[in-house]
Amino acid sequence: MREDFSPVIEELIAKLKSEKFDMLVRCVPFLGGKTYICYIGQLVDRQSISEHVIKPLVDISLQKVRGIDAEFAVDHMFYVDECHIGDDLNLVKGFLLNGQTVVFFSSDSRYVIVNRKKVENRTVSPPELMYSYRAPRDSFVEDMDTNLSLLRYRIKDDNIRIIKKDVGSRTKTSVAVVYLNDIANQSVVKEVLNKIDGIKVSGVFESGELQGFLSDGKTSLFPKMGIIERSDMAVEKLLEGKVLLLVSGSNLVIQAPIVFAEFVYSCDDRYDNKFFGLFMRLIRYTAIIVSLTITSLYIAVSAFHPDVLPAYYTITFAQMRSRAPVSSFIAVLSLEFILELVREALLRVPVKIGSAIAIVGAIIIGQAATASGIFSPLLLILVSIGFLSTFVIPDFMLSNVLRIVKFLIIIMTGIFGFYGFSIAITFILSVLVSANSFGVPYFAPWAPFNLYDAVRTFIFSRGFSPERQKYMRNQDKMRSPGKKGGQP
Amino acid sequence: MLPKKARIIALTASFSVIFAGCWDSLDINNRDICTAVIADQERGAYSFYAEIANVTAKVQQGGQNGGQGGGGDQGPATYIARGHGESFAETRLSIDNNINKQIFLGAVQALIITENMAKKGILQYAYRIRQSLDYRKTMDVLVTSDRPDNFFSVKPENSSTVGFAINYTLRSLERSGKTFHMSLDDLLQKLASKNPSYLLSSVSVKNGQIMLSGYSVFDGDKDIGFIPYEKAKGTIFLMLGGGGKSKFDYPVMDGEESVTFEVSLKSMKIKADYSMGKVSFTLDMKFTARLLYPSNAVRITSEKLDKIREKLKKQLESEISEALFLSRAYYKCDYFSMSEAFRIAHPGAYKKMIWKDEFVKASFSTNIKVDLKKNYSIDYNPGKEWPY
Repeated sequence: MREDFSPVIEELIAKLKSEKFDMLVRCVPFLGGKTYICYIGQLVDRQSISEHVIKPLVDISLQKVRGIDAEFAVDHMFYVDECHIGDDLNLVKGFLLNGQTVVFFSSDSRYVIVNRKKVENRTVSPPELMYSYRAPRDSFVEDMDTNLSLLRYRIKDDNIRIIKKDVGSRTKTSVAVVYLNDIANQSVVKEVLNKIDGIKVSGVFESGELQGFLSDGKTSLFPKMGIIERSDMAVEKLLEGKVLLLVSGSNLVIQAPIVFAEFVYSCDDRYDNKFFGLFMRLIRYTAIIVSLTITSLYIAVSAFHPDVLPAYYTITFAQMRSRAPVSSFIAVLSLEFILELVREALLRVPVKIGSAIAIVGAIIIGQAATASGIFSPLLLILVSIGFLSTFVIPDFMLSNVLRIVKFLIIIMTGIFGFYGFSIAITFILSVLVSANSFGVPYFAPWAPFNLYDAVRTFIFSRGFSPERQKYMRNQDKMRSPGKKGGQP
Repeated sequence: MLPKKARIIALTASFSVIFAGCWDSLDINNRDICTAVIADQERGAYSFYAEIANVTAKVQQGGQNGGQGGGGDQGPATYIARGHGESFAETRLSIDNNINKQIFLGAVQALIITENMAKKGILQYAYRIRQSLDYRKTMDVLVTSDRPDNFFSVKPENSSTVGFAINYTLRSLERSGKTFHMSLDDLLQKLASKNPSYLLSSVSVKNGQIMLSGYSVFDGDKDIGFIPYEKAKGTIFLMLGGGGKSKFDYPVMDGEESVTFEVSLKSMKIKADYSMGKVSFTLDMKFTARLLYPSNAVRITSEKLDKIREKLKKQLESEISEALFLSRAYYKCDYFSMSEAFRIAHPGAYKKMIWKDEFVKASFSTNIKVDLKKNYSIDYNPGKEWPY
């Protein structure tokens, strides 16, 4: 039995110490040998290490026990649920950086990896992005294990699959791919996994970054993957055959694939009366159209085609603009720009200052601008309606895109009138209908059209929707158990 | 060399820029919004009168006075641009010289042609308007026997502009079934048809207010006569046809008492016959007469009812016959479009004949029925139901 470590291990420990990534080494001698307990202090639960790893080692050394090796330690000493034996010294550094504790024995060439990782987490808290008045209030946090536990607490299906991958050559960020094996389209799962494997980057910190790598078109404006903050919604998506991606360190889960219509969906639509859900979706679709077009239409009507207005309104329109010093195009652009400034400022400042900015914005835009006649009162009303409409869209990823697209339509309309407006709308629609998300047409169920799914885009209840969305091409197409051979 | 797709896109984009660029844009507040046009012709010269909305004056009312519209000198709501010339083009040029912004004709509510001009013919002017895309084809085309300046001296009660005042008055009468609508589009269609006979509403200023005075009868493009509004009930019934679109109140005298009915034409069927080279029409007209109110607490018995019905029927027959007589015999033009009914019934004969000649020789017979309806909300004769 060796009393000293082999030179290889001694060299390895010396090398790791010299690299100065703050590795701590605790040496515990025992009869006829010694152990090295190596870990990074910031990444482990040091109290647990002391209690469940070091204390048993010290106790056993006092009992003069001989022949302590890796196998003996795992079987009879460490009070730890997750520990295993390793023998490849090249992996030691990776284990340490991942928050594991590595225990070397002078009497054994192998070592023990003990998982006593500790990451500072916040507790599960109510969602901030996907607010709902009816849905459960537990939302995802930055810790992946907590997020997975939230999922598994809601779904007790043995078909759930969790595939973990490390992304980032330096950060080694854990990414969990979660799906239901008997529902999800396997080609989507395969594509997601392949894309994750193909990511070559030094680090990923947030699910949004991963989303960027996984999206099909690198120049695509519209989001091809959705985000989920609520665990109940995530489970619902699993049941619909989606693939979820949980990223360690991110409180937002990514879902794939996604279609445009799903951005208009809020979980309240499902929990509440289906007719109220229909009403709200109609409001949201209207809001999308209004937010995109209302100010462009103002330009088209006031500067190019006043004939489209009833005659009386033409005069009212002209009266409201009679003191405006700039053209309607410039006025719209300026006002939209001011609102974007206010919005951005409100996002970047503390909440207490935010209210002050809102007041200043309201006074400057609402009072001074109309009193001085720089902007027509009608334009202010229309811009405000457009601004409010963007907040009605439940998913901020879509509303952010619409903010950009709105400027495109405004500029095209400002240059070409209704002609430009039509070109811009046609362009946007053609982009939407030609896009796809992991093989699923992005504008489904409208293009390609499917009546069953299209109806349920507006009015949904599990009672009359026994089948899952057809455009998803799931393995199990039935949502309701016992109907047309569907599985529970 | 660009690829084919790129060339097509570039070409399309260039055309867009050339034909629909921002240089076409002109904000509405930088245009003179015209709400009414009067066209006159006198002693061989033309005159145009354009009523322009003064949008700045309105803003002063609403803006500086807190939207209440009171106080301060806000100036008139409209001003009149006048143009005179030997031709329409010259007259228009003259009017353009009198205004300081590009004129916007999309808000014109009434195009009024003076009787002087209408009698000489409106074809050239109609052609001129037809080629202009600026006018709304739904606007009213009217005739007046008044001087144009009379209109613009009026302060309308129901609107700030003469154009809108006329439009509101006519729409109000039209909705209550008391006149029919003749738009610019209708006029252009009539002028292009084989039998261009039609009626245009005639407006005049009376007691400082603009009102519908009757209908000018046009044969082709010329004004050949006038039907006063007070005597035009039969004409309006025939113009609007069945379906209850036309409604008039009829007081029916019975001795010293009278009972007032609201009469509407429920259905009208025109049967056209052609035999022995003679055109004849039979008009089956079913009226509904709803009892509105009696002159006093009169007891309406079944005998009285039959008497009243008969009187009302005769009154209606007389008005319809008079309207038909005016069209066929007096003005000799088919503004009720009887030719349509005849053409559908006898297409072969219609093709061969000169309709105008045959129409004046045509005979008309009317078959009028009146259905009296009780006003259920009022019991005029307590103790006894009506009708009995």
